[in-house]
Amino acid sequence: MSPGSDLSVRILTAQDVYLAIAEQREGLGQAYEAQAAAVSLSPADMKAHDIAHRGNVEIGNDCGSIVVQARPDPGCPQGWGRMAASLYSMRLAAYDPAASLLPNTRVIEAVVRLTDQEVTPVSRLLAGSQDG
Amino acid sequence: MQSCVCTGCGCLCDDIGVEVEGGVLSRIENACAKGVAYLRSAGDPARRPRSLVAGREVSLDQAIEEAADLLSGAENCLVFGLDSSTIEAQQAGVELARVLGAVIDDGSFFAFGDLMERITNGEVPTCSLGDIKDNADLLVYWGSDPPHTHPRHLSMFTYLTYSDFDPIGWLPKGVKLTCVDVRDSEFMSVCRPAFKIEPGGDREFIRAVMDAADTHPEAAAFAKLVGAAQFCVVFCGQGLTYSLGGDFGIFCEMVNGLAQSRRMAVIPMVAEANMRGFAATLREATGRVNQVSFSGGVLHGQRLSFLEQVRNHNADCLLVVGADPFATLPQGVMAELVDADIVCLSSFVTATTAAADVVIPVAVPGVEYGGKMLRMDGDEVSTAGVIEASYPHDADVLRRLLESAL
Repeated sequence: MSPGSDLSVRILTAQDVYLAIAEQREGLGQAYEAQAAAVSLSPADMKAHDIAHRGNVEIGNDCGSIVVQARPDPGCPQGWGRMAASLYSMRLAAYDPAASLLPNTRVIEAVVRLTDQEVTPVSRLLAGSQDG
Repeated sequence: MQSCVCTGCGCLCDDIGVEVEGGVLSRIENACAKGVAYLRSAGDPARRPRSLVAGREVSLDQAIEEAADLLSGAENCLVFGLDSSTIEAQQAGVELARVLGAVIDDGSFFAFGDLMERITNGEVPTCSLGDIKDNADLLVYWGSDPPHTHPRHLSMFTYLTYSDFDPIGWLPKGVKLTCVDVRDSEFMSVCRPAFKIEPGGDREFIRAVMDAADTHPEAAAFAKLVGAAQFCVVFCGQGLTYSLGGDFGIFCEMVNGLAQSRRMAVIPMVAEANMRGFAATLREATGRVNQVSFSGGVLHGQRLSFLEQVRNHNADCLLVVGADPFATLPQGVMAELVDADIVCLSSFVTATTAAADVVIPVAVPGVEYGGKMLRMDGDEVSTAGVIEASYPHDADVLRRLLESAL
């Protein structure tokens, strides 16, 4: 792996109580965005790809793409990522009934790459928005 | 202090104390942080939706009339949600779907696959949460992370409720806490032992438990742990559901096999306040717990699931009641609703209210009005409103829509 090259990951999503509280208190605002627009990656993967702590990364697959902050997580194996289940992860989630009767919202395959873009505002993930 | 039932999740904690001042909850006792946020937001005008038609604020009556027109004028209606409503509202919602000849579904299949149907049909043993304290000697959280989904589950119903404690470690005596999960979590670190498996590895793990396979040391250790128990309760979370692709057949086979030699019970870690109530209500009306069509009799099947209906553009009008599918389901699929009219009854501003053509604000169950609900274990809990609602009950709105549709 070389710095700056694409990193293929499988992202595990899960419910996050802090995100749930932020959404309940303030709706889809800044607190929600701060909690949801983040991906935890293996420190080794981040080092190998020159991804800085809290550096912005674009995560994309056939379903769409988002820009979020990267955070190191020593408990995260190489090749894996973790995100809270949110509007951000749902941008990357798919539904293919030929593969499963359930939508693919829990283990999402995607590519992570460094970016200079700003974190995707949550407002752009809403239906009817420019990108929604 | 007044007593209150928190309807923030499927625990339906009934020991909440509240004080009311100026029509809002000024003090809340016993609730978890998630519950406090939920209960407090009932009094936050910024979190409550307004009556809207095409983004324009209208009177409540105008919004209801517009919703009635859209539903009555539609060829194929799809009703989704009702998992957070009282049974009374669920009954009204099911009746409305029947009169409209609509498809009706909730989030239970996405959360628990066919487990809800199997539990409701008695295909797998279950128990009341009230049976667990001081009786169950093994608690298994499988694919669930209760501190994040149901923060009071352990202290209200399970591990931390036991009467007898080990004074050295302050751990309950006579009961073991374990989990099966794919992630290292804070919860996993307090389980003794914990079973970490590969993502998607639950089926293999279950098969190895059933075969008593020595080739799978983790499964062998799990089988030994259950083998030593007299009463084992398994709490199923969405991690297990998704690993099994929604088919709990092999899981139920394992549980029923283990139940030959000890008491076993399965309880789904239901996130919504009354998903069990919806399953019971729809089953009473149709014999099925979800994915039902009232178009030409009562039909049931996977093609009637919410996502299949949306993906195939089958509905020209969607009625969402107390759910937020635009935040919890893949956006690529939800975008298929671009040509459908969307009516949303909601207590809070959500991604779905943002997408809806008609928004009808409704009262918060358990806070602003009462009614019956079924907890995650299926036990009935009566809720009562503690503050005067300035919003209508969803049951009343659904009855008005029903009257218009008749």
